[in-house]
Order: sequence, then C-alpha cells, then structure tokens
Amino acid sequence: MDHLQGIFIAEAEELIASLEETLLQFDKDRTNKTFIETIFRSMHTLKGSASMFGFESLSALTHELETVYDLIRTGRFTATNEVLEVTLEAIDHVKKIIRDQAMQDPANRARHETLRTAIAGLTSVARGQQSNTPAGVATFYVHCRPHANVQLKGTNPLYLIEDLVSLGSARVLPHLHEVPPLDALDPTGCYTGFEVFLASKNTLDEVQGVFIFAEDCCDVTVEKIADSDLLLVPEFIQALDIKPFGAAPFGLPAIRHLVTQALRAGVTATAGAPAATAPAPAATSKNHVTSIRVSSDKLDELLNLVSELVTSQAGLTLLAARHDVPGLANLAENMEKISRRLRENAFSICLIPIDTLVTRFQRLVRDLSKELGKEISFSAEGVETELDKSIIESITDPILHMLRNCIDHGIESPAEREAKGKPRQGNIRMKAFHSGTSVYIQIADDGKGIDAEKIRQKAIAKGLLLADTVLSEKETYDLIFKPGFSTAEQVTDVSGRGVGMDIVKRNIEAIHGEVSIASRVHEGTTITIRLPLTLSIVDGMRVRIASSEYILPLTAVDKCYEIETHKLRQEHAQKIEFDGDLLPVFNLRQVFHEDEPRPDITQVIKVQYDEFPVGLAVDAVVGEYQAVMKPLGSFYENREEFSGATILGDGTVALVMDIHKLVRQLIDENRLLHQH
Amino acid sequence: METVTVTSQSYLTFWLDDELFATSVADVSEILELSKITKVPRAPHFMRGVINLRGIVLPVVDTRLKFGLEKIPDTVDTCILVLNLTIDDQQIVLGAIVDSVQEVLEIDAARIQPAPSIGSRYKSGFINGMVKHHDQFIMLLNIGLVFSTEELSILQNTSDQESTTHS
Repeated sequence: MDHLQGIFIAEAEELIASLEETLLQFDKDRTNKTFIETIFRSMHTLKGSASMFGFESLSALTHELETVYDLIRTGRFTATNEVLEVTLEAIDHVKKIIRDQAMQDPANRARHETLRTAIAGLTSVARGQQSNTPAGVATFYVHCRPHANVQLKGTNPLYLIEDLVSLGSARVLPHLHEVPPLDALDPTGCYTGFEVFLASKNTLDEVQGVFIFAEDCCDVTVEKIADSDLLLVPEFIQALDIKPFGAAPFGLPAIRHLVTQALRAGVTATAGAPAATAPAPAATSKNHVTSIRVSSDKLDELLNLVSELVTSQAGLTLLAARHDVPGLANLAENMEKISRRLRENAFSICLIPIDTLVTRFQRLVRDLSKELGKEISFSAEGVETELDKSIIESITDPILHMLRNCIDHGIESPAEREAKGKPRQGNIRMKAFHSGTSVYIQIADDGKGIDAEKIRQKAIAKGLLLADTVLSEKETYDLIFKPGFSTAEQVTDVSGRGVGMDIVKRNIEAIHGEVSIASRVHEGTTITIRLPLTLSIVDGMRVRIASSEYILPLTAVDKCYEIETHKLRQEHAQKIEFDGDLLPVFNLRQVFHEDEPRPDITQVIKVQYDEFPVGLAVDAVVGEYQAVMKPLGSFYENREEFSGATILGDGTVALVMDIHKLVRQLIDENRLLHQH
Repeated sequence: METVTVTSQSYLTFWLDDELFATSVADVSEILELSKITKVPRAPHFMRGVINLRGIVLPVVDTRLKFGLEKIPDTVDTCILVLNLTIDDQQIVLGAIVDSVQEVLEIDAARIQPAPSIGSRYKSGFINGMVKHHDQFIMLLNIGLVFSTEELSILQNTSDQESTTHS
C-alpha cells in the first residue's frame, strides 16, 4: 500500500503542478474555456485518485473545489479574483496535506477548515447567481461509408458532409484506403468514406436526420460519444491528427477508447507544454501510449552505458584502422553511426524544456509582488529551449534567488515608478536561447538598475576592493558575486542577507556555467546565465599539440586554416590575416609551454568566442571524436580552461577544452602582458 | 585474563631519492606501472598530469617534486601508488609517482619514535614518526596532509627556488 501511495503522491504532485500552471494561465485569460476545462478535469482526477488511495480529506477538499469549477465551466458562475485566490491557496494546502494526510500538523488542520469555509462561501455565492446558459454541447461520432454506386443514385456524399458540418463545429476525416490505383479506378464509383466528429447542440435524432434520404445508399453509424465539446480537448484532436489519410477508419470501439484516454490525458499532460514527444502513428489506436514514467536512476544508468559504449566503440574504430581485416572497417563504421544515434537519442530523453520551471517562477513573481505591494508582470520567452535534467535541477534555486532579488530590489514600487515616468507595472522578462555549445538564460527587469559607483564604494567599504583599483564596468558588476557582498541598504525578509549571489555564482559554476550582470541606472538590470548543453558527451574535434591530444567542442569550431609554421611568431598572441580579415591567433604551443620541435605546418582553428572569432594554433587536426566527459577532479579544479577529460580509443586521456573560458583567460592574460 | 590490543599496523615502504618512506596500506589501493601520462598544461609543476585508470581519469602527482626533490628521468622501477585519501571530508583518489616501492612491513606502534622536530629535512606535521628497520630509518608519512597542503614543497627551510622557478 505504501508503494501505491507513493505512486499516487508522485502522480498527484504532477497533477497539482499542471493545475497550478493552468490556473496561472487562466488568471491572465479568464475567457479561455479550455483552461477551465483543464482545471476541472485535473481536479476531478485528483479527487478520484485521492479517494481511491484513502486520502479522504484531500478528496473532500478537491471535491468542493471541483464543484466551484463545474459551476464556472457551465457558465453559472464567473471566476473572480477571489475564486482564484482561494483556489491557489487551496492548492498550496493540498501540496502540504498530501504528505500529512492525517493532518497531524495543527496548522494544516486549521487551514483546512478555513479553506473549506471559504470554498463553501464561493459555492453559495455561485448558487445564488442566475444561470442563463443551458449550454448542452455534445460530441457525436458519425461514420459514413457511401456505397460504391452512391453517385449513380443521385446523391453527392459531399452535400451530406456539408449538412453535418452546418450543425456545429466539426472535424472531418476522409478514408482513402479503398481508393484503387488509377488504372482500376471507376470514375463514377465512390471509394471514399469519412468519419466526422461533430460538436453540436442538436440531439442524436437531429444528427441522424441528415442521412434520412441517404440511408439506402450509405452505411451510417451515428453515436454520441461525449457530453462535452471534445474538439476543445487538444489531446483528442492530436490523437485524431496523427492518423494518416490512407488509413482505415477508427471504428466506434477505438473512438470510445480514444475519448476516455484523451479526457484522462488532458489531465495528466502538462497543459501548455509543447508536444515534445510526438506520439508514433499507431496503425490501430488501441494501445495509444504517448509517454511513460521512468525513474531517473534508470536514465542515469542508460547514459552511463551509452558513455561506455561510445568509449569502447572508439577502441573498435582504432583497432579496425590498425588491422586490415576485411569487413572490420565497415563494421566499425556502422557501429559508430549506430552508437552516435543511440547517444543522441539517449541524451534527448534526458532533455527537459525550461518550460517546466516557468510555473514556479510565475508563482513566485505573483505571490511576492503582491506581498511587497508591487505590480509586476512576468513573461518568459524561448521556454521550449531544452536542457539536461541535471542542469535544470541545479539552476532552479539560483534563478529563484535572482528573481527574488529582481522583485525585492530591482523593481520599484508603483508610486516610485510613476514618479520616474515609468509605467506602474514593472516587468521581468526571462529569455532562454541556444548559442553555439551553450544555452543562455537571461533575466531582465526594468527596475531601478544598479549603480556601478555604489557597488564600487561598497566593495571598498567592505574591504573587498582597494580604493585605487581601476575596474571595467563588467568587473565592477562582478563584485556583486563576491562572498559577503549585498547591495540592499535594508535587509528584508526576502533577500539581502549578503549571502546569495556568491552562492548563485558557485552553483552555476559547479555545472560549468557562468553568470554575469549588466545594468543601467533607472533602466533595469539584466542577468545572463550561460550553461553548457549537456554535461556528459560532446562532439569534438581531436587536435594534437606537441605529444598531447586535446578535444575542442565541435560546435564552437568554425573553420580550419593551414599555415607554414615559420610564419607564426613564437608569441602567445598575434594577428594573422585569413580570408582578408585579421584574426587574433593564440599559439597554444606557446601558451601550454611546449618546447618540442615544431612541425613545418601549423593548423589554425577559427573558433567563435562571444561576439568575435579567434584563432587557435595547434600542431595537427587528428579527426572527429565523441568525447565522454570525465571530471578532472579537485586537483585541477582551477584549470577552468579544461572542462574535463576523455578517454581515447587507445586508452590514453585527452583533455577537453572549454573554448569560451580558455579564450577569455588568454585575452585577460594578454591584456596584462601589454599593460606591463 | 590477558587483554591483547592490536598495536601493529601494515605499512607500504617506498623510495624517494635516498630516503625510505612508509604509508599505511589502508591508504593505498593499488600500485601501477608507469603508463602514458597526459599533461595538463598550466597546472602546478608537481602535477604530472592524468592517466586512465579503468575509465576513471586519475590525477597524478610527482611526489619527488611535491617533496621538493629534483626531477629525475623515470626508470623501470618508477611506479604510481593509487592513494585513496579523505581530505576535508571528501573522498579523493590520486596517483603518486615514487622512485620504487620496497615492501609491506608490519610495524609495531611501540617501535615508532617521534619525528625529530629539530634537524629534520621536512616540515613538522608531514611526518608522523620514524622507525628504524635494518639500519635504515623509515619516515612514516601523514600522506593525507602531504597531498592536501597548498604549499608547493614540504621541505623545511629550503630556498624558495622550487616555487620561484615555476611561477
């Protein structure tokens, strides 16, 4: 039973999360009926499974909430702010009592009663409101297969469809599977059947009436399949859409199955999430499983196995190259292709869209801005951007912290904003996007911004900075991430205890990410987080410098040039002309203190660094390599220019460069060199 | 009637230059032949690089350099001790290159003499004690401290040449 309850809790938490998300969407767009339907269905499912697993108090509470939303759904009650407020509170409460179902915590018990009264209050108000829309839309399923000679009898099946469609909103699926090849086709014959899903207020008899004169030349089935408008249920439409035109009709039993499934799926699927895993078109829609729940341990194990496979496969490729065994090279090449695809597949399984976090952020902005008496809107762009699940887990708290800072310190109070000539409502925008090997997440507010001079003064006052140090603007803002730095003049409940931003930075750096701040006084602050796409395998270019091999992430590599070594000066940095442009080139042989004899030809690899390209001079390009990332360990944790190491086919180790960090270090070092 | 307390412990002894050192066998998980070491550029000079230990990337320390001894070419006897240390509550595995390994010795705690605080080549703390064995003094190392220290050399009062040549 404990195990079952565990499953229920996991499922319920997912349900609650999606419920919360839909509620917040509904909060913005109160007229959207789909949201109400989704909310209602979620509550209904939650109630049902709660009572099944013996969570009685939970079930009772959701039942009452469900009643309210049923009234709203049927148009007998309007969703007011009060309703939403109570609902959100109730959901928070549900989150708590799901783990304390006996309500041993007296606070939970007290809140439970308050909420029940509040909900009962809503219902009684609702019952008092006059209802005037007896909307009884039902969905009908019509399957019509006109006989082959229907046209000879003077009936045009298309008119039948038109008549049907005029009764309400409809979705028509033609069935072309019986259409013969052109040479066998009788132009007067009818080979097409169709299925219609009709959402209409008419009765079954009225719908059947359409076929009254066609009954003798068509096989017709008309059936009512739901008491609601199924065409508004995205899951149902999706299930219909995946069916190819050439396929056979669904048939009534399959449709019935689909209906129950769609109604259920509409509850479990996170509403609003993009259909990331497109369901495979099943020939029969019977076992229509769109997603399954897998424990993350199993996924981790899968990834480990894939990593091992990729490493062994590199060994095989090497062996095939060394021994001229007929067929072995082919086999190795094939294995490489398969393991690459397997790898990509396994990794895409572990990618989660940032979308999954947005609800939490929205909720935080909503609640906290109310609490602080500020008016703030939150918008998120690029939420479909995907990141490794482990990365998503590690960035949630840092982002929440930064949002808290934005709300607490960044955005001014409405009055202050008006005085400055800004709109009353503040704005926080989150934007996520891909660029090269990285994913960027930006959080921008249009608040009061951070005064660089103030930071400087404060850093000096706190002894973090010497008074005569000259810092660039970026370096000044980086001071915010120093331990023991907090810009808040007053410590509030929400943020500003002087711990935080340094921890944010540390957490992000722990996953090889970076964070930076840019700000304009009175205009706002933008925080940018750069994150690696995945932590475990990178597609790389294998290069050699002296006797060591290195891996450069392929996504950063732009182009390779060959030059004669004597044209390269023995310096760390220089500018060389390629394709008519001067490219800053770093001689990695010099940078890495390699003094073995130089080869005659040097390869210059053009890589993309931030906004401008940079060349890296290496001895040779060896080839492509799928690098399984291994940590370098704490002894090398200061060597940021290497994001890790990988094991090559022959068992030796190659270092994987973090081009972004390497180039930044080189630029900084050379600036210092020139200053001296 | 008699209470027997286990007072002896097993130690692995190894040579560095002309001195014999010992570390508790509990810290050593295996001894490897020298294989190809991948250099990590721009790392401290005593960090020789990394090797592949059955799929794990293992950092390798040149113990001679860490001890402030001069660098010598590797020989057939040069080997890597794989050490399993707990440093700052963290489990750390690393390889330590030594000139050669000697033997595993059972050393009675009673025979351990305190390390001389004056006249020792090594800074106090790094040596737990000494034992005389076949006319040879063996230094019992506090190996966890040796490899967790930020200091470049554990030699006492030597000139700073090691650190200056490298910065």
